Amino acid sequence: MTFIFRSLLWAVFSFVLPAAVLAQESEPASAEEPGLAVAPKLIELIAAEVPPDTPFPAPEVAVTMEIEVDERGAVGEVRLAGGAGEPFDSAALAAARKFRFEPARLTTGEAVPVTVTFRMRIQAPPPPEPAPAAAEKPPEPVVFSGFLIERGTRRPLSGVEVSARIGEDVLARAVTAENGSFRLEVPAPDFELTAYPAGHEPLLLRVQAEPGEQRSERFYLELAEQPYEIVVRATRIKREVTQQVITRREVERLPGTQGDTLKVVQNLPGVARASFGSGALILRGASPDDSGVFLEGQPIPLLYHFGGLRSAFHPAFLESVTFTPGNFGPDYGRLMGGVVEVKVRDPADDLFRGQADVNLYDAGFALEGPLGGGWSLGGAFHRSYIDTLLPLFLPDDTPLSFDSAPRYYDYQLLASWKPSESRRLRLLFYGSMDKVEILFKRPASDPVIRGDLDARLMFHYLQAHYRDRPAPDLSQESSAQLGYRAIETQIGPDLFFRLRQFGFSGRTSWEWEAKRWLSLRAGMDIRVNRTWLEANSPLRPTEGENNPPTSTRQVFGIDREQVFYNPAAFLEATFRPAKELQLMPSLRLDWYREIERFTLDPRLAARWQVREGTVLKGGVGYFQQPPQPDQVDEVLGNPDLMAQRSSHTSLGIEQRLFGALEIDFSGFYKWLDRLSVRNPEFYANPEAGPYLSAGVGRIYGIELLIKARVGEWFSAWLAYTFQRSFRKDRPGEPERRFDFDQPHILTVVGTFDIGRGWSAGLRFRLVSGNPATPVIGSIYDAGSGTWVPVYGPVNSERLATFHQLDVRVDKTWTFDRWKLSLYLDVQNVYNQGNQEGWSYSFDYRQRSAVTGLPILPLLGVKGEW
Amino acid sequence: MKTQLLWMMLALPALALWGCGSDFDPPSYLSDLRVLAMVADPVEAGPQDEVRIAPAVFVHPSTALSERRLTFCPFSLGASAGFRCAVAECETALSFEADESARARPYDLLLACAARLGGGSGGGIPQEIPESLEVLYRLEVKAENGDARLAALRQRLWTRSAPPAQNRNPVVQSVKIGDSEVLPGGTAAAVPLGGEIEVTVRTDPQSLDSFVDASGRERQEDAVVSFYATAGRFDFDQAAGTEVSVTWKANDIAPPGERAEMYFVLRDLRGGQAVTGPYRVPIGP
Repeated sequence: MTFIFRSLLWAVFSFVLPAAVLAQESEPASAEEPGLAVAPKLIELIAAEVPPDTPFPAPEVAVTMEIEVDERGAVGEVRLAGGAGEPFDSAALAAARKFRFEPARLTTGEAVPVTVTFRMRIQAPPPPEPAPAAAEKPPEPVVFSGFLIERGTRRPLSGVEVSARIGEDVLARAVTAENGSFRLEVPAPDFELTAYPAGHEPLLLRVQAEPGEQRSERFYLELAEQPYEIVVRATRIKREVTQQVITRREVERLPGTQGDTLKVVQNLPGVARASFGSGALILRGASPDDSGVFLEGQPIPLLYHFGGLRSAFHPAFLESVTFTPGNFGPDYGRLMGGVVEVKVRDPADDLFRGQADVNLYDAGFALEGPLGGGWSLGGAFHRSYIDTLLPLFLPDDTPLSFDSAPRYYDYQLLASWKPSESRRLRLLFYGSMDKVEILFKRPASDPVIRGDLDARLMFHYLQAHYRDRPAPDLSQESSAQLGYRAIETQIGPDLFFRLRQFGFSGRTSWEWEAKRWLSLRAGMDIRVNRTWLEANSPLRPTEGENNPPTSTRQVFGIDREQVFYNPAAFLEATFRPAKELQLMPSLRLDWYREIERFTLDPRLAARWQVREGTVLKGGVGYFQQPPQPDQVDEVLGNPDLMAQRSSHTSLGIEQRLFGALEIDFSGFYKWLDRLSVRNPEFYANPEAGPYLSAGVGRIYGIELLIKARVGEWFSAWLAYTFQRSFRKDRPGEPERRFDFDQPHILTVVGTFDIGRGWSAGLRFRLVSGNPATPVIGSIYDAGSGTWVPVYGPVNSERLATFHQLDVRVDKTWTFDRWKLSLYLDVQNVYNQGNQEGWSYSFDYRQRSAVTGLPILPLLGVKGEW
Repeated sequence: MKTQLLWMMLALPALALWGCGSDFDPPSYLSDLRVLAMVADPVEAGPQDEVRIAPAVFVHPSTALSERRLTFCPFSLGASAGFRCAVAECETALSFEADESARARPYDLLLACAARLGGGSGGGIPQEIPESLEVLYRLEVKAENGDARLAALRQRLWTRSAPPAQNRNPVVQSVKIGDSEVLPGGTAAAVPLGGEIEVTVRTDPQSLDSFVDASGRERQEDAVVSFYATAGRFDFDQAAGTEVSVTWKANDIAPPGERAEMYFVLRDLRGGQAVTGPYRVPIGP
């Protein structure tokens, strides 16, 4: 028989250890020296094994030992400090040598070796039970009830077994309910209350009560490890089994993103760096116009405020961001580049929660909670205050003033109804507005820019999303979005652009598990837009087109009302001829009202799990996209343009190593044709039309993502992309670099959990400079008084290489009912002057580099309850 | 349409322009050969019109003009192509007269080009001559010191009848330097080295025409004045309005530094221009 008295040993340990550890300190820590912050924590207790029938000199014997615990938590030397004789001493020493600890840590977070004094009590076995005597009246049970709550978030810990025990004997047990409550009737007044919720510190409480006592307590248990939430996935093929996972904690602490989930995408392979941090999505060498961002399957009209400052959707309600740089599934069309899918999470249905955050340029809050009947409600709001601060920093002699400095707000209201696990209806009402009004006291060098510059972008959308499983082998997901958006820009008295649009989009997708080896998915999606457009502006330059001063370009007047509708249908089959092999052929059919053409996109994706931890994947297919609405306008465009087309091929491998390392490597090649390009004859011959479907291109490269994780305290990833992107604008013209041809893109990210609420992160980026078109001369336009650059070959030069280090430090204080976080995010730590372009003298005879943001520290505070 | 990108394209460069070239000499500082204006009369031409082109060229006193060449091109490839002529064989050289201006009949030159091409649309020109088109005058000037400048004047040519609306060159009503009005060629009060003086240019509001823009709005032309000086610095290179004032500072004076010559160019941003100057401002000790 072995005598295992873990509970008593725990109790002894908890009383003895701190004193023993503190006794190691030879002198009090000075104010400048780090002190012991965390004592070593016993995580594996081994019982002393005493031979059966060993005579005990007393009902309980104690053996005192000194145990050396190193910085890894492993036991070194064990010495007897006070013995009880053999065989007890040997048994205790042998058991102690097998103990495992979490190491002690200093206030700096550093793990340090310590020596602890440990007293092990070994109890004699109970005497044989005497013959039953007259039945004794059992003591009145102690009724112990309570709640298990996660500290800081107030989240109830449900489904956790709570036990009342004496030693090995369990006297009573219960499982916490959904609200974290439990109730025990314990037939003894003295017992130990234990619970071991996954991912949390355990509950170990010695209870000494009176028979018949009723006691109720609420226990706040600290989170011991962060849950893995799927926040950002970089997928090459839809519905990958293996995904790159970045925890919400990592997203929130990633430098340079201000906790903005959408910005994390910019750190993944296949994403080129946008100039000035504009937030433009340049996926696998494709133009920003060729990629789309979808919120629950519906197009989101504005991704970032003011071109990259802050995403227009509060991250509090973002559940995940799925990033597919190419070879996406048939659900999405009308795009040649990549897709970013944003999934929204439902508001909390257990407790009312909230958060508020403030940083140097905006503030926001989010509230959510249950309404009952399966309903939960949430709302969030963000508002900038740049308009309040900016005028304080502008010099008095600045040539411009702000009637309304840049300001933005966004809001989201969500309501979710979940009558069952398989059914959910969600309503989302969201919107955003960006506004700026500037007064130019004097004309700029291009005199068309004078007087007022006003810009306002806004949208308000209502979205409904419903999913259901009508039958065990049939599921569906449908959504619809109705909304209004407006863009109004006035530049001086000459130029304006006013767009108002009522839009409806809807999609539905049905999946049938026909056989174990075959499932079929079919769906439809439609977009209908009624647009009113008034403008007095020049034509938008196409990618790669030289952009002379606005004053020298012909201005066109537009006053148009249009209705465009684009229905589409798709069909996808998933074959699983073998357990490890998945083949997904699909077809997508689109109709484009604006060019009155159909397009048919066949696609194929495949995944093969070669062995455990190794997956080969590949894809091929057509991806077609209509020209932009202005390019097919009856007056200003060419309605005879064709749909632009891209064919994607990709091949890759995913490999997991040692359980802590994930490697994802892919190669890709894309062909592009029928691209809408400028017709150079248009300027001399307006009859020729401004656009042609004559552009071609090719894009190829490799992408590598290596992710590493060590416990919960360290995670890192390295993303490297080599990619080349070329275009040929018209037959017979030489091939040129794409505007964002960045051959090398390296991003290294690391986040560290230091302990005691401290964490740190860093991000280093090394990116090839963007192509640039040299200016080889200039010509003075007498009518406008502006100088017109004469350009050399398009994109034949390259700007200097970009490199930047961003660092972030967070401190979180966790209280019982709320958390407070403070962060400092320093972008461009070593103040690198990264070139973003060229600044020229008025006649283009001289130039100097234009650099991006200097070192930029951002301080923020966030409270959550 | 990724209209947010359109907004960025139009609006953000406006902000960027204010930082453009801040380390370079401003355009208002005349230190080398410069074409200040190319005044066309009439501003827009009809099929019967003879157009007089009067370039205003500043030649630095340290050198002299060695070469000048003015050509006419009926079909231009536009600013994005550096105002190259779409059909090289149709680019016609014009002769300068004694007053340093040149004359041309653009419609006749257009017809000659069409005839030369045999009515074909080779080189990307229209099959049929449109009702109006933008023709181009290109000026190339060279100085003895090797400096060279290119300039272009775009002109709307109406091919069926006279221009439908009035478009005249604006008129400078007066120039005031300091407290006194000064006539072209005249001398203003002296400014001490390091001192400053206010310069005011008035436009005759009657010379600003009303017009209908491309979007159908009825508008009035704006007056935009560009300021130039051979020494010192203006606080702004341009100003908009019928009466505009800027401050000129007698700093950064290069030797010999005895006086500054000022020129002002008035534009209505629809092709109309007027040049006035020089105005001499002595610089005192």
